[in-house]
Amino acid sequence: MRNSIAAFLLVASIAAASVRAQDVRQLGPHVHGQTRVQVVVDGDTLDVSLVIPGADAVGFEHPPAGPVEAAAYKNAVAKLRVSRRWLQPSAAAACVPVSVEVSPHGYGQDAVVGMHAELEAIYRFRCSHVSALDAIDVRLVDVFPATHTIVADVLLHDGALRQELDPGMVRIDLKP
Amino acid sequence: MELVRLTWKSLRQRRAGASLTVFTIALSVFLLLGVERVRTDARQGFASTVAGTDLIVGARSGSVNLLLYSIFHVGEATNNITWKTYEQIAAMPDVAWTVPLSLGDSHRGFRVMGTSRNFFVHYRYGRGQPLDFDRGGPFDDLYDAVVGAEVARRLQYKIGDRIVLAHGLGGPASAMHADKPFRIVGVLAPTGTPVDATVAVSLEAIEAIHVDWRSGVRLPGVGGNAADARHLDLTPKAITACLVGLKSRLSAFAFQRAVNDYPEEPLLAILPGVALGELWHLIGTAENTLRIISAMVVVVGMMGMLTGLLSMLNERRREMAILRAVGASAGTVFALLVVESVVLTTAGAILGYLLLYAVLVLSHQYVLAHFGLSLDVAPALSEWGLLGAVMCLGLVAGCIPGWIAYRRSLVDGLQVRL
Repeated sequence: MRNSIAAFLLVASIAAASVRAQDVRQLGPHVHGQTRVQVVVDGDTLDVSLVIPGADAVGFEHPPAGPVEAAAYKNAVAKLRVSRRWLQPSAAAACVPVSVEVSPHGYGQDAVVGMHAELEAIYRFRCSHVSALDAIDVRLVDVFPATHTIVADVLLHDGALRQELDPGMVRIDLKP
Repeated sequence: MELVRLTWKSLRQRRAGASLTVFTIALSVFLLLGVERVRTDARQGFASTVAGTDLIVGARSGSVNLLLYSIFHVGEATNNITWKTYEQIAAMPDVAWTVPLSLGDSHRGFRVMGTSRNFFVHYRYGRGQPLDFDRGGPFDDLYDAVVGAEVARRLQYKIGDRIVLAHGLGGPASAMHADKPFRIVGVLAPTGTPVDATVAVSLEAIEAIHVDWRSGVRLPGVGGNAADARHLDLTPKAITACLVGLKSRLSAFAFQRAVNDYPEEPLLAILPGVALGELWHLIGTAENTLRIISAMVVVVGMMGMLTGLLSMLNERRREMAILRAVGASAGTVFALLVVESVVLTTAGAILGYLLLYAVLVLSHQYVLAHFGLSLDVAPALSEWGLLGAVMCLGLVAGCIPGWIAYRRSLVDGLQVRL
């Protein structure tokens, strides 16, 4: 819980920061306990991307040191890769996962001492009945209990909107 | 049916008091529905001001600040972004179109906006409606101007009129760009958006009127007259913000990240709907306060009705006794008071509803013209819910005098009174 209230205006991307740290000094938001989700629906394609603080997903924000930390890191990445347990578009929309891409920032060569780390994941679905896509359930707290709130930016054909899911809320409404 | 007839006759006996009660409830319903209508239409108006634009890009500030200044022309001015950066953004592979916006000057209290002809092609409002010209068309010549509907109406402009822009926001001490007057070539149809109160000119025109300005001071003769300026390089140096349309929505967030991480200049890309959501979040408390106040006014109206019914109870003991004497049950007496309350509430609600729509019909054009707020005259679904709540409140309020009359009528029936 301490993490959930520790808001740091630091590091959007450790990779970007480390590469450009010498000439460009700009840092994005990084709030422990808060996962940022972005949802786009275009045609029959549904894209969901999320950025979760390393502290919430892995438990630490530095390159794994030793087998215990390495296992924790691998476990977190594996949980993000297998999304069907916690990321569920409306069943009626019959969305099938097409691709998953998980990118760690700050856990490898790009790590900068004292900086934050995070995991980014991008999921693409193809939906047979996209008109029935009413909502997406994001049960991230089931796999990463340190998740406190989810801030979701949703881009639909008729505009964009933001939804904040407080503890206990899992549904991103796509037809508000 | 008999009960309604009795209620009607009873109310007719007390028509002055009943009318006042109905009027009080009508006013409170009018206020409740009016606040809700203005609230929802203001939200709708804000939400529909910019449609079909995927992102707005400006200098790094706050998303609400950027949205308010670049689109609604209110709030703190943001920094500018350089023309070179704008060109690089426009050249990004995901970008389908861009519309540059440059704010700063004014004309008789109205904002002057430098832009490109793309503005008239890609800007959408409401449910994706494009801009329509009431008269004329887009600017073509360097010194052409297009005015919004409100500008034309208030200043009684027509095609061919000459106007002079003021440097900055105007005011008595402001310098005028009098050496480079503009000709009105187009008047836009009303949109209910800030475009109505805008004078649009080309970005090159903005440069042209500032060629003889150096470091914020005008140096007459430096850039030559209006004709000379036509031969100068009028490529803009900076703009306030730009609207961006993407080839595919799927690239929106990646584009947003790319812009926000743009290394050469601190930029901010916002999704208009998300920024509006943040704005609603900020003003939600004030809105709720307004709603609570209007709900309290309804409660006060109901209390007025309750006071009226209760104060009448003593005077109506004889009426109740006669009713009991002719065979009415205690339950009928209870029902009579409740029906009275419901009738008064219904009459007040209907009158308040009619009053609201009369005011909406009469003031719709005025509010649009003077406040830029488009009030929807058609009934809204949410209003039925509020009316239902008012009716329930009236029913509950009627139960109190009904219960007292019920109890009294039992006691009165057993007592001998002289």
